[in-house]
Amino acid sequence: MSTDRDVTRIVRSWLEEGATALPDRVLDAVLDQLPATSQRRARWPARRLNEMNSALKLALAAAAVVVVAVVGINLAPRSGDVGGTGQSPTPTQTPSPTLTPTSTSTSAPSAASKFPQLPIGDLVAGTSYFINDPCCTGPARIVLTVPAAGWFTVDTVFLGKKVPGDPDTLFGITLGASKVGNLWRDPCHRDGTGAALNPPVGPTVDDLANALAVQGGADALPPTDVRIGGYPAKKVELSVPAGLKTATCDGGDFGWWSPPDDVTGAAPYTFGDGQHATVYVFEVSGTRQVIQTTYLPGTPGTDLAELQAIVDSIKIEP
Amino acid sequence: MDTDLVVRAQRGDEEAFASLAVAAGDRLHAVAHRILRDIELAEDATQQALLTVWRDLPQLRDPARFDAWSYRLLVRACYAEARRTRHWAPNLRLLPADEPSGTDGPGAVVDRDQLERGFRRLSIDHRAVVVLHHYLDMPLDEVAETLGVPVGTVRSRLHHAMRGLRAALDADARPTSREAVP
Repeated sequence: MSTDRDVTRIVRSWLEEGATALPDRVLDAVLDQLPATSQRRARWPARRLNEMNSALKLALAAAAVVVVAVVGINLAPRSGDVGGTGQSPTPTQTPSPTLTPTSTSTSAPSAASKFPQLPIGDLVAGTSYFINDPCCTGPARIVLTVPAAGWFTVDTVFLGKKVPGDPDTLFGITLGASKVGNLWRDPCHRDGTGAALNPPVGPTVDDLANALAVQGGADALPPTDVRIGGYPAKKVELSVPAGLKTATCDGGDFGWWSPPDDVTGAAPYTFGDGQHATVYVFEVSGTRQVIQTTYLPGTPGTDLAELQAIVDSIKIEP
Repeated sequence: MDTDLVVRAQRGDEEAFASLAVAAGDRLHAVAHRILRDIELAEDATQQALLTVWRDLPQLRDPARFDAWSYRLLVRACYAEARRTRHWAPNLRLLPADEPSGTDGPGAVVDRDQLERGFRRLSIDHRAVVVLHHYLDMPLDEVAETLGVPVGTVRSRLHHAMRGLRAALDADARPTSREAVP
């Protein structure tokens, strides 16, 4: 198992390899195009302000303030709808194959965890672990029990199992914790301005569940009421649309949401085409929390049953 | 970077720009190649970035910031190149320049292959942060300034990218579930 220091050393060494010299033909092609490529002139020469005296700078600054104020008054929205009128996501109600839908756990939140934190590596069948990481959880600890062998982690916030007979795919099924910042209008097309919802998805459980259910570019079913870890939750079933090659999406990945601190992130990870995700949205001590499971088409029923067993084992320690 | 060359090129001096391009071309190409992982795409991105440098150079307010500014234009060109040619994402061909040397052990070969796969799963945003920080040794605040995003976003991207790369490095040793279940 790699430590952070190992990974950094290996990545740095790997980045040292590879081409460095720009071929002359490329440089020649650039220089050949200069005469036909007009330079965009600045409205003032570079460093011009540094050469002005202070009085002139102040006068220009004052004039600029007046211009901005006048333009701002004329262009300000009349109705106070700060943030503009973002497009509503296109509703998509295509049913998708679903994992056994209900979480039946009704256990009450318990005291401080007696269990180990989810480690990086192989997990032991019959053992309970907790997930807690500022990246993806609030203060609550998510305790779960691994029902069988073959489950492992590469991170401390999600666990998974490989696709049988497919060593190249990292995970066939996963379960993990997430915090959601905003949704993409289309999980496949996340580049460019306006790709994220504007205004952003609201802060409540219902806000997120309802927005996921109508997110453009993805298949979804309406939210349903369930309980997870003893807490009331909204569950939303999502799928990568049939026939979509996720490698052709922006960044080569299909991601429904971005984390709160990364406006370009794509989550949860997509491990293959047709991936299905079940998203549980709930609130613990005033903090919205998401637990998501994913599986790829063709996942054996025994693996899906193990995944459901993990969901059913979840307890939340606030 | 010679700021006098930058100022002369800003005024339309093609010879000065040629000197700048010679000096900057290699480092821009090296960064593009590491972000895009494809020699041809990297050449196209570098060519486009250099032409954009020439076109927009008069608008660079502080010639001393030329290096950081040129990296920003290069990363934009990498975005454009990646979008223009969709085949880049699943292309896992190892380039001749990336093939392992004879002195490496089998573990190093596996690491390269896994890293290549893991890195290609990252978005251009995440790749750029990894390359600027770990290849160019740029401090995170400088990466943020170069890319025009908050430092917190850079930290987050680096964190997620390194997690993904660690996942890729650790993936090869994992048995499939069929193998793991007795």
